[in-house]
Amino acid sequence: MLPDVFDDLAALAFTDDEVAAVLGRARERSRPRAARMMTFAAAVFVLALAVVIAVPRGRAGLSDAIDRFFAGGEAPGKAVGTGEPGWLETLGTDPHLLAASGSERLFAYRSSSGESVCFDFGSAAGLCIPMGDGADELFRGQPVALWGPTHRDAQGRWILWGIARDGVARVALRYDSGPPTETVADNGFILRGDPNRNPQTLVAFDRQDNTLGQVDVSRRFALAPVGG
Amino acid sequence: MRIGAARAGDWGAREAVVRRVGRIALPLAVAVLRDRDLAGEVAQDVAVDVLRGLHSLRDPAAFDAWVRRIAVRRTFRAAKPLQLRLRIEQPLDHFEGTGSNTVEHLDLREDVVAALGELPPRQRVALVLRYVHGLPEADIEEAMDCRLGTASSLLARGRAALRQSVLASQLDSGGAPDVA
Repeated sequence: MLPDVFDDLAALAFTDDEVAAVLGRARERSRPRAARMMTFAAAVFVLALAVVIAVPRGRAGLSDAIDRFFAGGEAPGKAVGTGEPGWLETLGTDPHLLAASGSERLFAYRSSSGESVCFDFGSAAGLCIPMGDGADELFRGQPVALWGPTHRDAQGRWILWGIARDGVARVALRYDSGPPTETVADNGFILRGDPNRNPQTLVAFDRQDNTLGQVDVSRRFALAPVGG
Repeated sequence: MRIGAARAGDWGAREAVVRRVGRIALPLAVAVLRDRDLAGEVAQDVAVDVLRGLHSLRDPAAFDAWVRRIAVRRTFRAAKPLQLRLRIEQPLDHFEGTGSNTVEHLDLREDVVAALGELPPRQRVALVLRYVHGLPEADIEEAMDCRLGTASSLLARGRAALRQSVLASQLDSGGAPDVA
């Protein structure tokens, strides 16, 4: 019978060397302790959804770039070229760069099934949310959703990721002492937290420097992976 | 398979994921590319993509279908430059030679190797998804991201061409045809 001729194909499997090569490549593509960080980040994100920036819902803006993305529109941020980054080509479509800081990249893209919107936080973590859930599943009525900190950079600074509503122009990470760490936010941001001070709050500002809200981040930094 | 554990970084679970990806991606890649080494590279790329994208898989039950879509896409992408090169340099049946990296090296039946090689890649993929992965037509269409009814057409044409080629080959060699 015709199907019998495919038996040899069906018997094909990776050799042990090939399995080892894949695991090795995956390890290289992840940062040190990536797996533990992913676990941690997932837990932190759950907290992040329940936490946070105490702003009136109306000021957060109910229809902005992120809402349109969830509604099937173009992803926010800057469109990136075909095949960049390479791994995204097989996992999703319409990749956009939401934020960049050094070698760190925050991407937004649509899952290949077209049913979810996804955010990728560097090479160690990310999330996808069904479009039907809407942006509120991410923001819960707040102007900023946080992820991390996921890991440290070469200088030991904590990397904290954020997705922001249109109204947020910049964010500041305030510590128990000294000046804050600030960065612009254009629907996304990446902050590098000072490793020698204790972060307390993340404050979101609009373009007129009005405070849109703030979130207590002391717990998430206290729970950050040691030496990550 | 422990997708959740693999996501969380359990290396035993990740190895199981990689082996599962190999069982899905390798037959597709070998059938289309007809080069075990090249197919291995493509399947490894698929496995890395899968490990890389595990966080985006919301429903573990959809793992196989998700991997198949990635494997089909990666395989077709790898086949494009290969087909172009073959068109320029040599006919496709060059790969039926006895080189160490040919499909023949896998001890596939020669007539089937030759017959498969004559089919367009999309027909080869459809046949592998049907007869190796055991998928119904709807799932084949999903894996290949094609319109309703396309799988039926690809399978019918692939089966007919394969039967014809195998039959002709066996008749040429004096063997008894054993195709349905």
